[in-house]
Amino acid sequence: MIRSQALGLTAVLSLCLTTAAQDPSGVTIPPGDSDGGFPGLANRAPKVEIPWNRLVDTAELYARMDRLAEAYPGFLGYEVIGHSVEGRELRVYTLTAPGELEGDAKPAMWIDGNIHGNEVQGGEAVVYTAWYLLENYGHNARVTDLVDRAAFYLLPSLNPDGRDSWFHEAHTASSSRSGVQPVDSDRDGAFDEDGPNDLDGDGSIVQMRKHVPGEGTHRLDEDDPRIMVPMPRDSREKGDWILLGSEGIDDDGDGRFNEDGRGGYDMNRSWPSYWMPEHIQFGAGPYPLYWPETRSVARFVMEHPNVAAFQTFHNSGGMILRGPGTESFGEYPRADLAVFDALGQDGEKLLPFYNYMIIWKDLYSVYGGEATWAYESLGIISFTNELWTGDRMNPDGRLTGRGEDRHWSDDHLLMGAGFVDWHPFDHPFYGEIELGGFRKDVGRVPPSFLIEEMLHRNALFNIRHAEAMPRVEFLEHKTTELPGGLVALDVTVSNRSTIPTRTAQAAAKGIGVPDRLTIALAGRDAQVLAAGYPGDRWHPERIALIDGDPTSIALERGVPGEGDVTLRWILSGGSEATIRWTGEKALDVETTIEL
Amino acid sequence: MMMLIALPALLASLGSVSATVASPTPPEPAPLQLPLLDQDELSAALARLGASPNAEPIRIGHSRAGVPIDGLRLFAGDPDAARPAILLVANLDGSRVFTTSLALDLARRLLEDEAAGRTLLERADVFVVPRLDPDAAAARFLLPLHERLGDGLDRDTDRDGVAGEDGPTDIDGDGMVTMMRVPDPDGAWIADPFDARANVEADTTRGERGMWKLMVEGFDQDGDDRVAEDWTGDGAVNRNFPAGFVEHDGEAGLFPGDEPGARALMEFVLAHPRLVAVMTLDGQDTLVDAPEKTDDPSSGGGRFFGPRTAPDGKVLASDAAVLADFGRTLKDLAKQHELELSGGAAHLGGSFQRWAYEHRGILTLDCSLWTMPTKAPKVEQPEAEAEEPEPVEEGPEAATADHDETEEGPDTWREASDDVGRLAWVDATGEDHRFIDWTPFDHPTLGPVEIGGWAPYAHLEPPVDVHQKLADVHYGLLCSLANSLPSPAIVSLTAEHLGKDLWRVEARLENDAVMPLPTRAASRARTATPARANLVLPDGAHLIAGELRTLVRRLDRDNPSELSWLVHTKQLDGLALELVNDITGRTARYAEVKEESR
Repeated sequence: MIRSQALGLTAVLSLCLTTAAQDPSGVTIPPGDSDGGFPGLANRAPKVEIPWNRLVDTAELYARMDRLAEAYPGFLGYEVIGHSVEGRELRVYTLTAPGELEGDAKPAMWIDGNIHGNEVQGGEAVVYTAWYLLENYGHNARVTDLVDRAAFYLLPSLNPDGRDSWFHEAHTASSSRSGVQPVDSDRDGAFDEDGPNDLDGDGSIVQMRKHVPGEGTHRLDEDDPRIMVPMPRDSREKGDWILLGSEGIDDDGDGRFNEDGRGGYDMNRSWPSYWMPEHIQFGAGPYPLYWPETRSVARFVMEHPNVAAFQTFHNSGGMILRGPGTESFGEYPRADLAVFDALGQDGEKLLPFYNYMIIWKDLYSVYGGEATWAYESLGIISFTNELWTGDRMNPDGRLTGRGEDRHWSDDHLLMGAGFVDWHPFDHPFYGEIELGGFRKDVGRVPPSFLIEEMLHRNALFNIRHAEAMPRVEFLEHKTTELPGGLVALDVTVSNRSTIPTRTAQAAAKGIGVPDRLTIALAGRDAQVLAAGYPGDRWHPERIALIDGDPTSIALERGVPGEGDVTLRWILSGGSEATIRWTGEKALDVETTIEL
Repeated sequence: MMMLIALPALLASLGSVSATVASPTPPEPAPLQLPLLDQDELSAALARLGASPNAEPIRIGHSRAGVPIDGLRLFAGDPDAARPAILLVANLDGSRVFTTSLALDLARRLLEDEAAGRTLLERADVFVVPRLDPDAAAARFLLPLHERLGDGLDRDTDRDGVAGEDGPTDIDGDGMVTMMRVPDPDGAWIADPFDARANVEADTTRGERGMWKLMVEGFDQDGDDRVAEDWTGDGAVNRNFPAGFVEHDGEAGLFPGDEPGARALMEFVLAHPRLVAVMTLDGQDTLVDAPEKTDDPSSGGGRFFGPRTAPDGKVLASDAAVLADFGRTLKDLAKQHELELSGGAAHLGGSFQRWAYEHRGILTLDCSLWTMPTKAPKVEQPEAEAEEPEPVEEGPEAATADHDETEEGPDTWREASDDVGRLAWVDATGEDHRFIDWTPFDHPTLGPVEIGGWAPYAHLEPPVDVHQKLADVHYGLLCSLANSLPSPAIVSLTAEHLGKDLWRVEARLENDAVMPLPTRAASRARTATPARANLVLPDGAHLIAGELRTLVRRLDRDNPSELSWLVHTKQLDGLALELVNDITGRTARYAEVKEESR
């Protein structure tokens, strides 16, 4: 007889699970429930209505999370893990079902967004994930099961200073990527003294162009004079216009424009794995985890060895990125690649127009990236999603998303709201010029009507990843009588999820604590004499003996994803054996076997 | 005044041995009059030195155990004057405790020396951090004596889920953790035929067979059949810096800057951009042996996609030439003080020295202090006797690892190992407290073993006379820096009248010091802010050609800078050039009319 259970796990709600289905990827999917379906249908409105067609600043992100926490007491709480350079709170929200086990005792998924200040929609993707899980808890069987047995650590914005600067100050789509600690980017002894300037005070940083008849590098498009057409390089013909770069003046009088704006570093180059100094990797800072935001996150994650899945959100381009960040790292271990591939390929199905890519190979080299650190240093399967691709504006390909077509989309889908028409301005250095161009919320973030779809698909990618976190259980055991009254007890511990309890990287580098299988015998004169791994079903005597205490076996390589580990104990006497598996990244399980 | 602590007194003052096995009375260690300062004594010494009007206390941070990491700023004259700075750091490796007193001695001399010391302090701030790793250093003052490189983050070395549960133990109760010879036919070790106290590896290809395993003195405390395989405090501060950091290595720590001492020192360096040189008292060497060097980079590369080859610990050629200058000075001083210096490796992976140079572009002046000689000192004969070459009876003092061909030695293909030579030196110099004779001991689980070998710190801590010479030599080197500091200057600013109030203005900027402004490594690392040459125009003047502000990216002995402008002005009064840099501050010069244009 076997009695086994996940230790300490008591679901708040008990759902009736019927026959499980097998999806094409091989993952077992319990059937969904029928209790109201997805919130949004008329028969079940969400408890917390959030306008998912808006992007908001840090305070509003936190306010949304707080509203969720209030609506779902016991499920969501936060701790302040540190403060940004400007003193904003870095809040990590823990989402899990209340019960005997705290979140820290369950396998957990870390999700953050917005490490680059301008890449704002990652923040909403984090909040949406929380909202979706909570609104479906108790209604959807899989969500309920996941929230019961797992925890989510959610940091909506890793760079709240950069985020708020992007929202509340004049920027382009790409500026405010950095944090706001002053940097002497132009090495002239002054810090942040020559950033872009909102010359006309319209709240946007756009482009500057000047009319220089017969001396320019560009001409105006004949059909749409908003478009600047570069003159062919091999042509002697000159255009009538030149582009002068982003809106601004030479604040420090060094002859250059906008070369030393706020900040000037890259927090996604600051993480310890394969970190390189500034002259190898721009933005890395003087040492790894130099900025308080990065250090706070690293501390939190390292102090939570239960984190078994890791996701960061950036923009843009439509990518599901995995490491390595550099070719020199070499390739990841084969066993872990199978996990990355399974999840990444599912991600491509969940996220139309997104491609599953390797950072160094398919994008560019990145030293000291956050997601690569999570895997390479901590052994956690990790992805970075680059949210939003312009292809989503024109999904059937009739428009290209570039040049004339881009303006057409803006004119007809946004009624021109995304573009600042060229208008004259008297520049203190260049004289009469024109200012104009796309606003900051065009190009790297979706238009309002497409935000929710982006958030939902990415949240469900998170959930796919979270469901893949290891789940350990005992399979049927076997006892064999041996000469001399001895007994061989074979116990198999199984992991039916995609992610192993210990990644190959963790095992190879000695990261974290090995899993452990222990046995306790009840009965007079009971003794555990030896332990080993059986390897040949036809020759049960062929076992790889394990050195040391046979009652407590360290499993450095853990239990593989969708696989199992069988151990044989040689016992003398005993009426009952209690076997316990413990590990950092799955719920502990215990079983009692009558001998 | 620094205290000299006799080791026996020190040992006696620290209570009983925490041995778990009864033992015979520990042998009386020989006097080791090396100045060693525990944390309280260090604090007291810093307080005494800090009372000088030319000193002020600094605190760079705290260790992992919360011990303050304190030091001094030494200066003379205006404390707020812009001048270069030098950082002196000791006891980076937790086991080199003796370097703390060396650093303090240098500080004391600088404060008391009205000549060379005063000159240096007038020209440069000297920051002294005498003990970077107080946690590991504390082990030097505890019994049993157990040498510690670091005492940082525990690592689960034996991967059993528990960190630091099976450390070494002073099982024979002699007050020291040494080694055990454990008889084992599978062992790799045998006695050196030249001196049975020394161990050498058996060469099975020559028919030798090992007789024992060598293990650190201890038990199997966690029951895994292994002895002393999982110590506490694996992380070492001076392996925890980012340059050349070795990830997933116990000594290196979890990530660069994880050790509070390492991070504190990096923050200190970042907060002091005037630092031009770091002198460390440690086991590394950039001065005695020329460090490996590599070509200067040809260009800096682009802002976002610069050169993608990681620095490899080598010194750039231009900087190597500067280090060679200091190396010559050091060797001259050593010769003068009859100190034998030994070379060593430079810029070890994860060390402060490598980070300071490679990532911040600060020259690091290091020499490996002392290594135990591998031969006994030669006995000098009086001149008169030398004239009469009578046979001299060989005594133990003359024993060397390089055995005289005429001396009768064991019949073996081997040459004496270095340890045989070291033991000869120990025997000849009376430093026999450095070696504990192998003594039989009945180990509770391993059976009969022998316990002995090199005493903790025996290889690191120099004899007292060498300690004194090290102080002399390093003080000389430190003072010599006064004449080597970067000294950018506007050596000329001339104006030539071209007619119609148009002037051609020319400037020549030089730095004729040994130290460049900045180092090549600083240029490469982009940590140096270029000097700024700012042209100041008189009222009503117009700049016709040239830049009002020029960034001067390099000034050194071989690279002066020449600038020129065209200025339209009716009067030259007030036309000036100022040169501003982060190291020496500001200097300025008014234009002079070129003679031929008057």
